[in-house]
Amino acid sequence: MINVGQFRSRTCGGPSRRAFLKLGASLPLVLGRPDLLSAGLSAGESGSGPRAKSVLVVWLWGAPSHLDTFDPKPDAPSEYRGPFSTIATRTPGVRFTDLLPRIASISDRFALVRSHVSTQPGHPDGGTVALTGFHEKPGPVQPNFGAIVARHRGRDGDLPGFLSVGRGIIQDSARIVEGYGGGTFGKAWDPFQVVVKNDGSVDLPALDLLEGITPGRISDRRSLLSQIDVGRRRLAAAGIDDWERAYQMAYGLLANPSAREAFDVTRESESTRQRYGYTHFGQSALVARRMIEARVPYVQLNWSQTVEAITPNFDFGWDTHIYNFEMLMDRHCPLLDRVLPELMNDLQERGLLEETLVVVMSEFGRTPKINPRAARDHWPQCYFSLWSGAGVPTGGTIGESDRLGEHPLTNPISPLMVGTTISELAGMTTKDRAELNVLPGGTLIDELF
Amino acid sequence: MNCSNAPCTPCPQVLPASRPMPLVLAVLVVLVVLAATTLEAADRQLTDDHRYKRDPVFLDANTLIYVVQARPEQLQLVQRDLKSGKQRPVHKDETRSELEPAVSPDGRFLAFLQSRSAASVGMVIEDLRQKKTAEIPPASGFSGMRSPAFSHDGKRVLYVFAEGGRQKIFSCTTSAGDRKVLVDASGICNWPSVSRDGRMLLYGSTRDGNYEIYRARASDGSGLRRLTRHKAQDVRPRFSPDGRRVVFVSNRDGNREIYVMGVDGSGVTRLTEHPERDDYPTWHPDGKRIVYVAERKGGFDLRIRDVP
Repeated sequence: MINVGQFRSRTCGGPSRRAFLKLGASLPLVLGRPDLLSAGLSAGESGSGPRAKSVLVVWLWGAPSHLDTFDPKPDAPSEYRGPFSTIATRTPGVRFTDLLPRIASISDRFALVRSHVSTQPGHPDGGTVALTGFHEKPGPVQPNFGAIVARHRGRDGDLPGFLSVGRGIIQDSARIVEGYGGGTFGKAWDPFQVVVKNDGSVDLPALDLLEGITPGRISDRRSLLSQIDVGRRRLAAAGIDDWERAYQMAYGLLANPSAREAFDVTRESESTRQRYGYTHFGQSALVARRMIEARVPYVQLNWSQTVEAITPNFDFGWDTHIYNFEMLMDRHCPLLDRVLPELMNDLQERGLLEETLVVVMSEFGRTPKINPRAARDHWPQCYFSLWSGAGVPTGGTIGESDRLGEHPLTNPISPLMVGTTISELAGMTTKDRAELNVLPGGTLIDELF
Repeated sequence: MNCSNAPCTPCPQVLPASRPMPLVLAVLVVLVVLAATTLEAADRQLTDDHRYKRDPVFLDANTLIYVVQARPEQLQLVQRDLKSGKQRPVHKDETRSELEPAVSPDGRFLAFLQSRSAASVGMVIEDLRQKKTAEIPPASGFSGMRSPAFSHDGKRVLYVFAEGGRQKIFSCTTSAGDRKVLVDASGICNWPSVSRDGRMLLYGSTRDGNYEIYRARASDGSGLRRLTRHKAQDVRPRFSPDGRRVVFVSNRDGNREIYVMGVDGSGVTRLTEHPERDDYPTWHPDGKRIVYVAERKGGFDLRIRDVP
């Protein structure tokens, strides 16, 4: 089921209701203009084809504890190690906590980096650094890795090049993450937001474009033009000046049934939807897989919109300043342990994993030493990521943390290296990055090549 | 053809025509139906909305209170009548998350956790008869209580609170006064449960490394005895109403399943077995059944099952 504007419409099966569109001030202006597209280089132009035709970043917003998940320290003192046992994985010599048995059973399908280092201990700043490679200040804010890949690739078909699947622009209780979108490229390169509910119904806020227009009325030119004028005035009032891009993108999605259907998880079998689980994250992951299948160049799958683990009106991110062990045991890890292996299996069974780079990451880790509230706080000095697909070597670890998980012992890996590596695997060269004036000074995580 | 004289080798042409077989088949069908009915009665689904759930507890023999994820941002307390199947929010207009409900033995008090502000959770004790509440607000900064439970006489509320990196068991009166430390051990304590006679206390603790279940005197936490000894997590112990058994959750067989054992830790018996998760068991007041949360086909529902 796809929600367009305020009303729901079904694109397959069951009763359908009329779909209306309305203009939203938060309209993301993604893609859609040929002259912009020509500014990007196709993958083929940069030499050999990209190893990763698509990139899927699973964004664990709020920062999971590395010690309680993928980098346990069972021999550390009790004030560090936490309450969980460890289990063997399919990677010799590598153990996870016993919260993640299913992920442990597929550890041979990904590379585990245990030596990430960031510099920003706060969520919005840390999120921007993790997603762009650079600090928010001094500005200007650099483009998200997704905007870089999307711009490099250009547009192919009616689907946007950079999708954010989840519940909207990521934020904490104070503000949004500046690095969520186009940065210096402009809002035209912001991600196309796909909002998924736990029953799998999808909201596409970008299609809130032309209030009063239904797909059936698009052919009614007089009505359409009338509504466009209304929409244009609203865009101007909202300070959004690139009407044409917005219009073309929305029109393309609205007018092309196959593009719309890509968002519709009701086209999946019931058993597939069950395997992902009827949770917001589970169904979001299924939408993300459909986007990869539709060859969207870059998809960011967000665990939550907000970081806070338990705070009124926030949607249970990984920021566990309290209840760290309870939340991980009761909710977060069981959910991740269901969805991530299913996503990986699904991509592999469909033959997509070879050409899709999957990166599971967050903005930082959490304090190795348990805090006074028997939980863990922010820790940018050491954290983890998982890399799979696109031919990256799997079944091993890259980098090692010290005996308490406080600092990398080897291979310190920065967010800039993450972005550079993602872009390289997605087909960009140093020259491509220089031409777009992005990721200056970035080096590669050599072990992933 | 006459097959009435033994020995006789049955043949397809004969069996359908013989008179005794329909009777045998009928008996078999009845037996199968009875067996199926018995199995169904032993483990029956109570809800079918598949939303994320946790923390069921009985208000009385016919009424459950539990937590459901009503919105992506909210865990909501829900009350369900088991006879009619009707359910309603416990606090209709509440938008903050509320979780981990506990009910006093006489059904007069409902204690639960309430999310107040950023990573800040308080405990509310609601007098359901007099329609008034007491509370322990969160401490300043990030802070939260956990796992409320009532004493056998319903006069005190046990709860868990962390300070100095140690997660301790406290108790207070139903008006949230006279707060005392009951258990202060290294590591993390959680899930207190008091026997109906008031003599014994169960709880989970990491004092020996990982989550294990311990028993102690309810009066002062002394007389500690370790009931489980396993490298996996043994969590969420609850006394049966007669105080003779303990239901708990463990991942010792690979994923979260529900187990029962004697109060001395003997006779551990697995009650559930499913590739998906079974968790949050609570005893029915009759002591013969438990209600629990079962993850099935990607959804979460309450189930009730007999305990042999």
